[in-house]
Amino acid sequence: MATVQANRAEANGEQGPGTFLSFLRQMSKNRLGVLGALLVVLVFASAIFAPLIITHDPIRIMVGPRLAAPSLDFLLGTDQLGRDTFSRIIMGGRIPLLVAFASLGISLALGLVLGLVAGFGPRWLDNVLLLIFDTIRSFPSIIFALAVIGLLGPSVTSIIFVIATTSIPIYARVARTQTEALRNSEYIAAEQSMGAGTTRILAVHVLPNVIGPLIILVSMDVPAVIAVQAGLSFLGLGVRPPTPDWGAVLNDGYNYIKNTPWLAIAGGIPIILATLGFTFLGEALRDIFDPKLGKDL
Amino acid sequence: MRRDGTAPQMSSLSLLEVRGLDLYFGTPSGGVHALRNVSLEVPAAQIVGIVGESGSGKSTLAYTVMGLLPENAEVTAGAIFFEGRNLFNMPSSARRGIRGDRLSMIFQDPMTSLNPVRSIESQMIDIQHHDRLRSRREKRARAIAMLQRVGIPDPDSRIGDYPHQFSGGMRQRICIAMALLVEPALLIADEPTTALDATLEVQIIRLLKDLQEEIGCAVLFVSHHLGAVAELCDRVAVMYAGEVVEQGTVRDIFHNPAHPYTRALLECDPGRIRKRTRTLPTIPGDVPSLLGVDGGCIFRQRCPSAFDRCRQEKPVEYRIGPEHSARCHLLSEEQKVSA
Amino acid sequence: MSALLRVQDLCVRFRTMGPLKALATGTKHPFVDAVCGVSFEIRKGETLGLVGESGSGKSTVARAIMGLRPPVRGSIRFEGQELTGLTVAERKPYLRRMTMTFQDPIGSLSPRLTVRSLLSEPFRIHGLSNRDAGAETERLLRMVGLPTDFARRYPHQLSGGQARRVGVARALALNPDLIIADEPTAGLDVSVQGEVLNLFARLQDELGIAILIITHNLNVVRHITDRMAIMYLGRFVEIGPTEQIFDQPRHPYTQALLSANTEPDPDAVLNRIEIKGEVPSLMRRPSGCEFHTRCRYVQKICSSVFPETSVSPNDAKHSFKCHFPLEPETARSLQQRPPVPIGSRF
Ligand SMILES: Nc1ncnc2c1ncn2[C@@H]1O[C@H](COP(=O)(O)OP(=O)(O)O)[C@@H](O)[C@H]1O
Ligand SMILES: Nc1ncnc2c1ncn2[C@@H]1O[C@H](COP(=O)(O)OP(=O)(O)O)[C@@H](O)[C@H]1O
Ligand SMILES: [Mg+2]
Ligand SMILES: [Mg+2]
Repeated sequence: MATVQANRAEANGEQGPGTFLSFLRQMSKNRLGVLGALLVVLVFASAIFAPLIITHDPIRIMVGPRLAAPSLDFLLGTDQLGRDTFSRIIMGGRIPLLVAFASLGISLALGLVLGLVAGFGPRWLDNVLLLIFDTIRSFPSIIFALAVIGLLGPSVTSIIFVIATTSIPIYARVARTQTEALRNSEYIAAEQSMGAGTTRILAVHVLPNVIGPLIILVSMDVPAVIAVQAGLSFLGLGVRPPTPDWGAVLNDGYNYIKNTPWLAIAGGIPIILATLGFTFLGEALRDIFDPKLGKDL
Repeated sequence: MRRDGTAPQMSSLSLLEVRGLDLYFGTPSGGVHALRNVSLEVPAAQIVGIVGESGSGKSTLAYTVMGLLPENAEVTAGAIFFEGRNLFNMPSSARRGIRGDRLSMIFQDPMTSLNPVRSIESQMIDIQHHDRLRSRREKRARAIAMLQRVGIPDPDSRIGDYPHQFSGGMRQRICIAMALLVEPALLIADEPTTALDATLEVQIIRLLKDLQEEIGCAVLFVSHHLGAVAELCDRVAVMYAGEVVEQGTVRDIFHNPAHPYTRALLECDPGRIRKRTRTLPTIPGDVPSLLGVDGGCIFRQRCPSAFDRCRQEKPVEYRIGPEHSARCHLLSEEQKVSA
Repeated sequence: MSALLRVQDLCVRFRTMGPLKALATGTKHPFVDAVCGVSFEIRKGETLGLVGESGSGKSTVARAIMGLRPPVRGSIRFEGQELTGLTVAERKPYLRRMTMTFQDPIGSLSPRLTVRSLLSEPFRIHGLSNRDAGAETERLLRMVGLPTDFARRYPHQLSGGQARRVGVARALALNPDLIIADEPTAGLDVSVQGEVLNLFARLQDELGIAILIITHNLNVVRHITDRMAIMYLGRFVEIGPTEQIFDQPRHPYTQALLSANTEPDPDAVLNRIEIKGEVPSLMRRPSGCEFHTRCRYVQKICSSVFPETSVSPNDAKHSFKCHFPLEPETARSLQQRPPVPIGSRF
């Protein structure tokens, strides 16, 4: 019974849910996870330190010949306007990452709050919120995206708005289900019996147990958002030229794919690396923190 | 008294014989040596109890016999003979054939063995799949008769119900009915009454005893409840931290315990103590970790009569009576004194 | 002596289906009365045992007292102050003086807090966080007999018995006058059960705390309670001094419950009184005396007339609800003999 649990936990080398050391130990055993973490660090570092890394001004036209092949001077060649592709790609990571983190950060925060309220509040409020979540989710997201961009114009803000609005219900539902399960657990009753208020219970005893799966969801959603953002740029619905952006580079390359394939390849590689990195990292986090979540998430 | 390093050689007719079983669970921090040199016999048509505190390896032993061990378990030594055949040398298809036909099992939580989305009827008919001679109709009739026998009121109409429509006690009765429907040679019951109230526990124990006599099967009854074991079993094995420290007939164990652990366990059962007392006896200390088990006696840290030898040497099994044996160095001392 | 806690005519009700479904299925009464007219009192420093089969409503009584579940009727007074109908904030000062430990030893501890944080929760909740948390933790751990380095552990790193001690330590943190312990020995091995019960006995002797112990295990009640109450289908069927009830139960249900005990002795003579069948569903509460469907002494009147509370002639503190209470002689003849002493080998 209980002793067995303790024994088993001890045998599994668990240190307690909070200890960072045990997390690192488990993480270091997961090879794909380590690879993912490295890729993510690489993508982040290159975006943050972009101004130090770039070899040419990414926006200036005709720093070199048009559509030049990769060379020592232009590591990944140049595009049709003679801009340095390498510099554009390094700088171009900033927007997808900004979009991903702003939109998912907003979704996480709002989804969490709404989920906690729905899961812990009165039944009627839960029902109302669920109805709203399901309405938003059932609305076709492409049409919604096109409508918003049509109204607000193509911009980073519109993309963030679209992504946040469509992912909040998903996160809120996950948070709500977790909260609801905890609501009837004995330790919550124990806290209530000591006189703890709802805010305290939610913040100290529910939130830390709910946030784990959500963080995992976020890290697994980052690649999808990057792909969506790149896709919108590719379709010309993203940021305006000449701002460097992975989707835009890919779009430029696509037009000249027959003669100068390296341009398209150079536009695709960072998207692939970032996507793989976040996916591996997300899966590793899931396996460590919540093996029960299963592979289907 | 005879000093005997190996398990006492009893009748060659034992239905189940576990010999020198060693089992490890692989875990990130090393091997958990969960069963060590475990030997046990279950003679046909007898009820053998396994008692011990939680974590002593009772369930692990039961699961090993059933062949239901988790993936991280590894048997490193020993053999299990069932009806004269070594279960470990058997192809897995043959082992599956034995399970649910000659061997069946009931669990602490009846829901683990009942399928929540299928009716009792279909589950009880399915469990008779080894039986090729009877028609579906006959199987259903047998199922109803069995439900009646275990005390489900109105089984004709209730057989179509689903597990959640029954109370906990009823579910355990249904599990017993299912396990005995196949007329197994050996029924393994892992803490079948632990989750039940005392009133239901005594009912289930009576039921098991009566059915065992009717069907004539043997039962391996795992429990940490001494009262239940005393009432139900013919023979008892006492387990502590992965070892069988003492075994014998139920009277040997309850009236004349030889191992200090058995004594301590019996003494601290609140059910024994009639007079009101403010200080109940306890066993001080904790169960040792099974991560690196050394050579000494496993109980020595908590043993009131431990001495030097207990730290240095693992006690062998000493014969005390015709069917009674225990692993304790005190028994060899006593032997010297009496010799 | 005045009562510390007085509960009168407590009724707690649960909904069995939503209002819409009830309307659709034509159910007039979509509720079950899990607790139904329960009255008792606990005096300062006294131990009361609450016994009954699972589902009889024991935990619901405790939860209603702690304000976790509002009653539909009845009064709960702590030192004369009515607690029903208070807001969470108004109730808070009383939750310092009565505390509760829950059934699941590990599951009732917040999983991501260390033992130290768990033990300082009561101080933080009641705004006493300026105390020296380290010293308090040590004091509490010592009080329940745990090593002080346990302060850094998480609940899942504790065994059942250790987690139970942490739960008790947390309940003791603010020096309460009353502890309600819901199944304090559930899920624990017999060796550990003794430890936990000894702890409660010691706390009571040293600190004079009143304790309400809820359990389905009669062996627990015998040693540490002064009085006990037996619950069946949400009602008290008998209440009185523990020793007297063990000696001379007056209600047939109590008698049957007392006899439904296994003996750790293969030769024990078990004068068991079998209770037929199982506890009826709360949704189909029997008429008259609710135990009549399973009672071996059932008479005609039992199925129609609800028995009033009667008081034992030789002890005013012993009362029961039965039309045909057991005579002391019948009850005593069922006494089991003491178990055979364990043979002495050493
Ligand atoms: N799958 C497993 N992995 C690792 N350790 C295990 C596993 N199953 C059981 N154990 C360990 O083996 C020992 C015996 O457990 P168990 O057989 O369940 O005991 P019992 O049934 O007597 O309570 C315990 O120390 C337990 O922690
Ligand atoms: N939250 C709830 N919702 C509906 N019914 C409940 C709830 N809690 C308890 N009950 C019902 O109330 C009755 C008494 O439960 P409980 O007080 O937990 O019993 P005990 O503690 O004596 O085992 C049971 O029939 C149970 O099904
Ligand atoms: Mg077990
Ligand atoms: Mg309860």
